[in-house]
Amino acid sequence: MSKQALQDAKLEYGHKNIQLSEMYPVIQEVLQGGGTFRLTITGCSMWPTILGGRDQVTLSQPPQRLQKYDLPLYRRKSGQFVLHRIVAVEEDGTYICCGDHQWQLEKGLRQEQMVGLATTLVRKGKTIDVTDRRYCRWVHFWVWMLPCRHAIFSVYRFFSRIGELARAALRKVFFKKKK
Amino acid sequence: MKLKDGFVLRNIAGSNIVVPTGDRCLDFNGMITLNDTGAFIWKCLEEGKDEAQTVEAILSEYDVDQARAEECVKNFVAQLQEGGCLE
Repeated sequence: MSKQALQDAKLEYGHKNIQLSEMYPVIQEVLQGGGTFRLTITGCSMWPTILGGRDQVTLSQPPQRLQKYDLPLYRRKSGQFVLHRIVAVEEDGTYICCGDHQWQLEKGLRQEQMVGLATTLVRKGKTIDVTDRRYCRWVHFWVWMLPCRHAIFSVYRFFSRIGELARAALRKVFFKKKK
Repeated sequence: MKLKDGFVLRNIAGSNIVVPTGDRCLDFNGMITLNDTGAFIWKCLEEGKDEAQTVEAILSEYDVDQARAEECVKNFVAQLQEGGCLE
């Protein structure tokens, strides 16, 4: 048998475009073995609780039954992975989920679709346990506010737009003065 | 020289990826990509081989002389050390 030539051993931190679906078997193996898996969030559907690109969650094996306010990673029928909050558990045992930045509900999610359960969040570099009292208060409040979320975000966007315009106007005034 | 616990090396979509799990991810954010040689050395270390044994394994697997194999292992171990993967 001819031997291969040796290349230099290379090690790179990070990875190139690996999809969560490709990672799925590893994630399952790790979680089923009682381990945890840290996932950097993408997208903004969980803002203001979690911001994509900045924050992470640590996932564990989900228990037999999940509860309202839990934050699971689940797999849609399309194969897409989503981390959204359970806002209600139906009588037939299916879950209704909704991202913290959303107001449209996703119904009929089954236990088999649940891949992992978030046990800690890393928000702005700070680790928050999901049993943390302040976090729980926030989550309860925010789920309770679900019917008003659309209005809240509209008002928020309106004022941040005004703020931007005001800042731009002020910058212009001061810029002129300096000249 | 021993790899820290809590790493799993897997072939994912054609790449050798080291995934941090368990407590490890508390101080280790993200994954590591290895090339084939890197993965080979990683596996040796995982089996508990020391540097000399790893060099031997490389010599039996690859067409290479002793000095080059030693250099290769040394460089790789230095990279692991830097990244805090070793105990």
